Amino acid sequence: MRRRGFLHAQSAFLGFALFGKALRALAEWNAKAFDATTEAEALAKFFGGRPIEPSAEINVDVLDLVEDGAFVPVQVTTTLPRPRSITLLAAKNPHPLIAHFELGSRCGAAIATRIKVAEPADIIGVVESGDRLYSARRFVKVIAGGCG
Amino acid sequence: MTDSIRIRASLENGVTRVQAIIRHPMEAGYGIEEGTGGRRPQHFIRELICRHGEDVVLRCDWSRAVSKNPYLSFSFTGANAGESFSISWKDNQEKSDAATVVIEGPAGS
Repeated sequence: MRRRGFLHAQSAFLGFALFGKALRALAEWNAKAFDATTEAEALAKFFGGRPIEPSAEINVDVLDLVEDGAFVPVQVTTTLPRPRSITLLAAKNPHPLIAHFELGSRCGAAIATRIKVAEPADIIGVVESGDRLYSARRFVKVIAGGCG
Repeated sequence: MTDSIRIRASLENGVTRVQAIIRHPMEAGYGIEEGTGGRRPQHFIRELICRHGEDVVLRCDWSRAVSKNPYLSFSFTGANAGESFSISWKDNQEKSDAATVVIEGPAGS
């Protein structure tokens, strides 16, 4: 049994070494980025100043008009190759960075959730594909702001 | 916070579609507490992990701006009906919960 355990540990280590980009079950919550108060600051703190280029291969699907900003359904999909992560921001929220999704290699290129949007503003989806970052944005008008 | 997670994971044409709702206040910390007039403390899920068996298929970092009672939908490949899918979360007050479901096969199978 002990030997089997060792082999398991060894193969797990080998697997990790071979697929170094496998999702970590533990990662540090990026407080500096989540506490940033502007879109530019949030992006800079979260992505370390890496360039982000606009892409038509990302779709930020959100209604044009939403009555209750506390519940804004949003879906980000992408046709970019091998998307590794999807990050959501609301440009004019007090803290624009909303959520970050790390996609495993078997995860589909679409995430849907509901977010709080404080005032009419762009919803931004950032996708990491390969080693590069791409983004798309779509304006949503909210009638009653949800405290984001 | 137990029993906070509702999951549906169903397999069709090789793709497992996941829909989940989690009962959680997702309190941003801007609200005023009734009675005391003080601010309600922040209380929100920071990390959520989705696993097929032991394999992490999706890992999420969330903020106070994910809506109350969060909804999440995504899909993944490589699973068979009858296998397990689980979601676990941890919030900023170090509370946590986890739930596991069996992946359903296509209707009628």
